[in-house]
Amino acid sequence: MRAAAVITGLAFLAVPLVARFGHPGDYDASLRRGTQAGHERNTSAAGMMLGGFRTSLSDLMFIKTEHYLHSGVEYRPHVHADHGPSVAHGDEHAHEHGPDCDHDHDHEDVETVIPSPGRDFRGFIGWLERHVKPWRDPSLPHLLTDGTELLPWFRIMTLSDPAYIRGYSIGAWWLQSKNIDAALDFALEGIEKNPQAFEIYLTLGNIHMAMARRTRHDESASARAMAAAREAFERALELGLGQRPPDWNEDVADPRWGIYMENDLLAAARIAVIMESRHGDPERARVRAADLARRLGDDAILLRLSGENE
Amino acid sequence: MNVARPLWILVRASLLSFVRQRVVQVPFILMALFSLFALAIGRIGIESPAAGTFLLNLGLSAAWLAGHLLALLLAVRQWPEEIEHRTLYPLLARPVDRALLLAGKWLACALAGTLATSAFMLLAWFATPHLEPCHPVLWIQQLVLLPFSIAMLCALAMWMSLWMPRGVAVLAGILMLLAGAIPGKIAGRIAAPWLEWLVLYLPDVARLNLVTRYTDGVAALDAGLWLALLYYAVAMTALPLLLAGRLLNRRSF
Repeated sequence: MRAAAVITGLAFLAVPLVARFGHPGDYDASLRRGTQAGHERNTSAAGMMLGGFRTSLSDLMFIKTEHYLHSGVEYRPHVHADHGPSVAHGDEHAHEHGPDCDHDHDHEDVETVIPSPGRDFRGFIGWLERHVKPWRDPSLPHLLTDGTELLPWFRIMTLSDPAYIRGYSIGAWWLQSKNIDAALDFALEGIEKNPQAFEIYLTLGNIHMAMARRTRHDESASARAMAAAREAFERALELGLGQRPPDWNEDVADPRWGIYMENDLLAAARIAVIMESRHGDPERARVRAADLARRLGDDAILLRLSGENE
Repeated sequence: MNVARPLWILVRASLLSFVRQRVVQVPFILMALFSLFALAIGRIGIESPAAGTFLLNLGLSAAWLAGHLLALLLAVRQWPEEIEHRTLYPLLARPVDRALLLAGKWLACALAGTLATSAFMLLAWFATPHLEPCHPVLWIQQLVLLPFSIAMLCALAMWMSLWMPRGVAVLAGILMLLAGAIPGKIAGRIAAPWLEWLVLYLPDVARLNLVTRYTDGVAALDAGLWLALLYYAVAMTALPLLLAGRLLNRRSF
């Protein structure tokens, strides 16, 4: 009996050695079925019917961040995970937010989940709901929080699903205003888990640019950060162009490529061209801008950068 | 001394008592409903292979979880109910070693859990169409790992039920089932190697769950990882059983 106890104890002590051998869940995310398969799954009849049971925990948490960002007010397009924000969308609001924000955040006229009085047939019940739950007139500008409360959700959603690209790209974007070194680590972790995710490279480029601005008093450090930013944007552009369907049309719903992915790719393209123009060969940048504009649906900014719209 | 016969009597008695419990019937009904649903969906038509794989993953995950929860609930009730209903004293009065009692109950729970979970998983596997390739060897590896993961969970649940309130033991068992990997991930972020080592001692039953790997179409486990998982399950089963045996021997009822 004593011998059995000793052997059992020793066997238990060796468990971490064995556990470090590997985990069945540790395999490259690229070995999974892919984002298109995920989209087909989520939009399938079975997926929608069983959505309440099988909804990705990460999707739920991402919608949670939307609620926190808008101080609890639920807006219709943002609740649908496929129409969530992108890194490019975030860049439009690239400044400090807070409850005392003195400017508008222009969104298109989006409806709230709780209907506004003109669209609510429920009368008193609707009035009660609008006064009990967080609600804001959709015609008014959105009030955004400063993003601090969102950060734990991004951490947990990426812990529960390391292949959740949006969690890394948007989370790192929000984190950079609080702790830029942590944002860099977070983005690099996202790239390690999702090496083909161009959205995370776009965020990484933004982080390096922010670091370059922060270290502008130190020329060499700033130059290094700017070079790293340029490399990240080029990589984002390369990956994005490779993944974008050549026949994509923004007027036709395509499960392979959404409007927010297109916005992120355009952002990467524009910044890559601008950086080429400022830190490389301006003439080559103009040619490149013209080529990218042709490939990406005659984007007005790229056309201007190419000199064709001057 | 021949322990096989008294052991078998204990196991059989426990298994018979399980059949009468409502907690056993509920997961069977739920899995039967899911299978009917999956068959109906298959008949109507599944619009894409990804949707079919989603259904397969859902069914197998639900089966794995339902079976393990069933085993947990059976195991965690064994000793507290014997004490509450005062049926423990006639048992202790018999010339049966307390360790044998423990082994009998543990075996019964593990056997019942394994049979139930295997039935659920086979039901889900046959009811859903297989529209994307999955590695068959991995499926066999999962079925072979089932009794080990169930036995591990039962051992932990029985040990915890001897010194924790039942509800807390159930909660702890659920955490081991669903969230066993989270302490390790958090320790990894803190980047404290000693803490990463320490949290590996926390039981993680989900480590033995190959369902998502299977439905993701990833290759089967190599021999090293496979043996490591078996070792993990055996070590994590043996220690709680040993501790439970010591607790039972020292405790006066």
